[in-house]
Formats: sequence, structure tokens, C-alpha cells
Amino acid sequence: MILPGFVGGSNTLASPNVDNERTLNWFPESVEPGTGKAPIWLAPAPGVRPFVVLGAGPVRALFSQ
Amino acid sequence: MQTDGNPATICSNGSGGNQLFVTSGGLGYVYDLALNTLTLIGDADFPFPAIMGAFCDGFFLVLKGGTNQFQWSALEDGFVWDALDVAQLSQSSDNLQSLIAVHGQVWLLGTKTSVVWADVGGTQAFAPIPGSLMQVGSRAAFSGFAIDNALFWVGGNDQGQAVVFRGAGVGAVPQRISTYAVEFALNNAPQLEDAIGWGYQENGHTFYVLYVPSLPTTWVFDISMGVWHERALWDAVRMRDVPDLGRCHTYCFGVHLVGDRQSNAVYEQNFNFPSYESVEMGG
Repeated sequence: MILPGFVGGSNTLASPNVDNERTLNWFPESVEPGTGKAPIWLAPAPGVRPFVVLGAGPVRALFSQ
Repeated sequence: MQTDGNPATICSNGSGGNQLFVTSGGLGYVYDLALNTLTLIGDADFPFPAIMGAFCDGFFLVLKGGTNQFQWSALEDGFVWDALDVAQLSQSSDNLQSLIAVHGQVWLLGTKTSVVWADVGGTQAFAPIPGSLMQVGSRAAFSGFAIDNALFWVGGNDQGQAVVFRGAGVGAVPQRISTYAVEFALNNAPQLEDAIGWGYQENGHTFYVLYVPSLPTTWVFDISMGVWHERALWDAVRMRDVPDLGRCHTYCFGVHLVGDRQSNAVYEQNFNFPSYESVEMGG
């Protein structure tokens, strides 16, 4: 099914009657080099898995050397 | 380590001194990478409160809160500070909000204006780059984040607030990257001053992530695509969105690590992990 304009970013305006699009936990990705079935698609936002628990929270900075 | 509601900042002088310079809760610390020791900076000339730090040209820099001053350390030594190694902005009268090193230059964001300084050598060390003053400041001190070879931040001045900018280079007008929808959301946040910006790159997408604690979702700008989207978790008890878990990030051990905005947990973040299966841990 072709739904023009369905794939895009969040754009909830002050007037939702004009545009009330929300893209939540997905983001648009263009199809390179343009030979796919669509010019753009929605890729899923990343998830997380536990890595380590520190002494106190919240975690206020991370740094790698 | 002393804490407050603000993020801590960490920077390194690498093999030049084998030190990490940490600011947290208004104080400064040095972590000695050779000895694995964390030490509170006891130099009487170290400013208080120390809001955030950076590293540039062999010097650690620190922003003194509630002023338009920043100070720099001795060369490659975060333990040694001289009260004379201080700069006070004179191009504008507003206080400084943020100090961020980008491209070997120091971007200083005030409440109304911003300016870029550079190391000029000699006893003066740092001086403003002529023509670098911008007529927009920062509304949220920790929204500034350097990624994709530029600085991103939530702007503000005496004319308004809540436009997200990308620094376009010294002497150039900052580029507005927020949309009317993003600005509407940010303007309606009960509090914008505590917004935190961070970012990362994965699968070729470079993201500037804007966590505003008083908003229900985290706003994310995909720099590669030039498009904003939102990230959130579903609070099944209160039946509403809550912001994504992350509020800081680093890439290490070959994985993306994010720090939890409210607990003591560090997570591995990956596109291969379903976002709806994100879990909260820690306490």
C-alpha cells in the first residue's frame, strides 16, 4: 500500500489540525542508492540491555579514553 | 564525589599528563590514569563553583558559575591552577552558561551571546577570535554537545528561547536546526534550563539527543537525515510516555554505553535490541 508522506519525522504543530505527526521510537532512513522498493523507510530506535550497575545514580557522565 | 543536579564533565589530557579532569557538584577532581587515584583539587586558586570543564591545547579549562569568567590550569597538570590564568569576557555583559572545546577552539555560550576563543600562546594563553561574537546564547547550560564536527545547543537570548542551533563555524551565523514543532514543544516545557544534550553515531546515523526532564519524550535530531523524531518508554502505571532512559553516552569496548537518567545503571544500547523491550534496572 502506498501512503504518500507517511514516513517522516515528528512534527506536532501548535495546531494539530494542520499537522500532528509523531514518529516515536522510529526514525526515517533514506534508501541508498535509490534502487529499493521505497525512497525512505522507518528504522527502529535502539533498545538497551543492562551492562553494569554503579554505586549511585543517576549516571551523570560517561567517558572513554 | 560531590554531586548536584547537573551532569558531571570529564576530559583528558591523554599521554601529556595521564590525567582526567572531572567537574562535579561545583568541585574539581583529577583522576591519575597511572596511579588509578581520584583526588579533589586542593589548589586555593581553583574556582568555585566549577560548572564544567574542557581540554584545549594542553590546558584544562573550567567555567566559574555565576560569572563571565573561565580559568585554565598549568600545562598538562590539572592539579595546578593560578588565579592569574583567568579570562573575563568583555565583548558582552551576560554571564557564561557553557564552555565547550570544539576544533581546538573554546566555544563560550552566555545567556544572551556566544563567542569563540582560541589559544594564542604567551602568558595570555587564550583570547577571543575577532568576529566570533554571536547574538545568541544558551538557554540550557548542559544542552551543548559537540558532534559531527560542530556544536549543537538550545539557544536563547533576551528576545526568546528554545531554538536549537548548530554552530556553523567561527564568524558564521549559527544554523537553526529545530522545527516549529520542536520549538513549540521546548517552549511549552515546564522547565528548559535543565535540558541535557548528548549524541552518538550508529549505522551511519549521527544523532543529537535532547533530554528535557519535564517533557514526556526525548527529542532526537538525526543529523545525517536532518529530521527530528522522539524516543520514549511507556509508563504502564501512569499510562503515559516517559523520556528515553539515556542521558549520557560513550562508545567503549566496541559497544554504545548510555547512563540512566534516574538510576545507577549503565546500559548497552544497540539497534538490534528492540526499543520496546528496554528495561529499567538499578536503584
